[in-house]
Amino acid sequence: MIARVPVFVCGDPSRGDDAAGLAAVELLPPDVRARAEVTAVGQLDVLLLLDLPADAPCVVVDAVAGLPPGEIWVRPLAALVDRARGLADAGRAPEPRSSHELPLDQVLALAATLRERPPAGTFVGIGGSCWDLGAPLSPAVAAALPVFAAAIAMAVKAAAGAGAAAEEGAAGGGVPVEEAADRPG
Amino acid sequence: MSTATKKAVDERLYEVSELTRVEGEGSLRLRVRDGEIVEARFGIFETPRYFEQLVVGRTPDEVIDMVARICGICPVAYQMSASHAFEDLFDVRIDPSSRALRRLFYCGEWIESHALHIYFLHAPDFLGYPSGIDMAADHRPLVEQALRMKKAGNRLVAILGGRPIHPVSVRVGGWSRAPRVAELKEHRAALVEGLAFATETVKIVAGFTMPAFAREPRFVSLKHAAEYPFSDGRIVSSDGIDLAPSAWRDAFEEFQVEGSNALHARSRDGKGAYLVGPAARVTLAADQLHPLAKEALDASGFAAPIRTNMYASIVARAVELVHAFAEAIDIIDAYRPPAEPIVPWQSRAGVAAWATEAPRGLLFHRYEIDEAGRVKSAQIVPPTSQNQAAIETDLVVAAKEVLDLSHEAATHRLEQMIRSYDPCISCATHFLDLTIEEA
Repeated sequence: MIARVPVFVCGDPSRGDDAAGLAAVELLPPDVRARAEVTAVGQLDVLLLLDLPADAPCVVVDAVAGLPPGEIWVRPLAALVDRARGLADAGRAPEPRSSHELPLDQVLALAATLRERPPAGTFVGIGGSCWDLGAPLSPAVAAALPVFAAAIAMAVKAAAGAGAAAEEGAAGGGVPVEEAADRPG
Repeated sequence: MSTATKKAVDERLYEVSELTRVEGEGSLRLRVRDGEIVEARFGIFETPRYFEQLVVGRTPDEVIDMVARICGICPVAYQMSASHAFEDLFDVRIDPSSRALRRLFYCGEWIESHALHIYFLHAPDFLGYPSGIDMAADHRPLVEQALRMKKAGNRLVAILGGRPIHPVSVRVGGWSRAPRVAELKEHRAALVEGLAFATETVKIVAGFTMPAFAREPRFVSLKHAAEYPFSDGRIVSSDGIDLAPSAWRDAFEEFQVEGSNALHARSRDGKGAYLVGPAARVTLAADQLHPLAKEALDASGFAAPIRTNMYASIVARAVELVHAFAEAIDIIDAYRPPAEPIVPWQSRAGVAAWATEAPRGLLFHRYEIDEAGRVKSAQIVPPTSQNQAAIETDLVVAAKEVLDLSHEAATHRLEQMIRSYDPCISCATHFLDLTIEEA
């Protein structure tokens, strides 16, 4: 049995460009959807990452502030962990979005700390400009959705390949993600 | 951020303009001249929220959804104070199973809030870390278990309220939907695991070194004859106040303080500051703790220190974590869905008022309802507003213990003291700013 790739889609469907990830995964072709376990998570919860089997790659999708609207931004999750740690080492404030939640790179860094290694997988983001309640996607983001979906699809395929390789290399084979999710991390 | 300014040979100034590891935006300012504390201010500069005006003209059920938005940590408390206030005015008697579900709802909120505060906001002070994330590197199992406890609480709120933050299922008269037995049973194992770790948590935090501090405040909380206080009981104090939960204004009042975006509260009898929250509840209602929580409190040896050392509130919070997990399991084991999740009700004009126990303490709501069943005016008094005067009083006490420390150590100790209250500035939207000046 081939494990499906966890795809954690962050965002709020009612807040303008924050809905971009949710809209993009709807455009994934059937063969990619069949290999992906898509979960809308609102904001990324560190326990989702801790509950993944060791080295099982995942894909995290979100809109990004600070990039030109519609620009696609793909990075290994490990690179975001390095970024968060770099900010901390430099003594710079982590700039949280609110006082009640951790930003995504800090969630990844916390997962890396707790697992003693960065989460495996890829972050796929898209620059946004409007986050107002009830607003539609901005025109540039709406126009870029097919490209955004294609980037997500590539990340899923890459993760599926890496996951299959990990399964082949593991004694006794890999653990199906949907089963492993209920196990202690 | 902290700054120290030498204003004169005999004067020091300490300042924390943005206090971290509290909910919301506040600051601390303490000025000492010739060894005397001349100013102790807990500043709240977060912008006003205007919820008391936003709800004017709205119906009771709309209000219940709106006030949940006041706080992402304790939305259940806002919904409970509002719904009980309206049900009291409209003489609504909800189904006993619905009432049990509301206690379960509160358990979920206390679990997620207390787990967050104990491990991510307060424990780093005792263990010497700047944040919970830094603490995680050296205490991985502890932090992971804390995350799982918090998730267990959030999940409970989601099962009952439709989502973990800003839930939507509470209605005047009950619930828009009651959960199936199986939905709750599926979550039982996580609660059992959480109970075990909560019990361990009491032992862990009771082992922390508590900074020296001695002041017994005037405690205020709900107290009920047969259950630990969530949504019912009487408003009592450690010195004899005894009021119906609708009668907060008979003994207390709010007032404006210059430089703060939140109202302060005080007692009308001239005694001033009082303390609400876990330390007050554990002190005033220890006899109603779940037996497992009472056992944990007794074994900790902290029943007495909780009364006089504000830093020990972390132990009170841990004891309540045990209570919330234990009571949640009991409620789930006994649960039978209500015959009707919501009972019919009829609006009438008058004053709807009630107090319940938010994780941080007593939360009072009062609404004037007109003949059309809409809110004419509202008053919402969150626990952090009520605790502000006690915080500033305790800053003076704590400052006397820290003036011989280095500036950095003294500032940190005072921040730790403020975090002992688990202030939710977003709820209070008053002020917090630490500056110490010494002459």
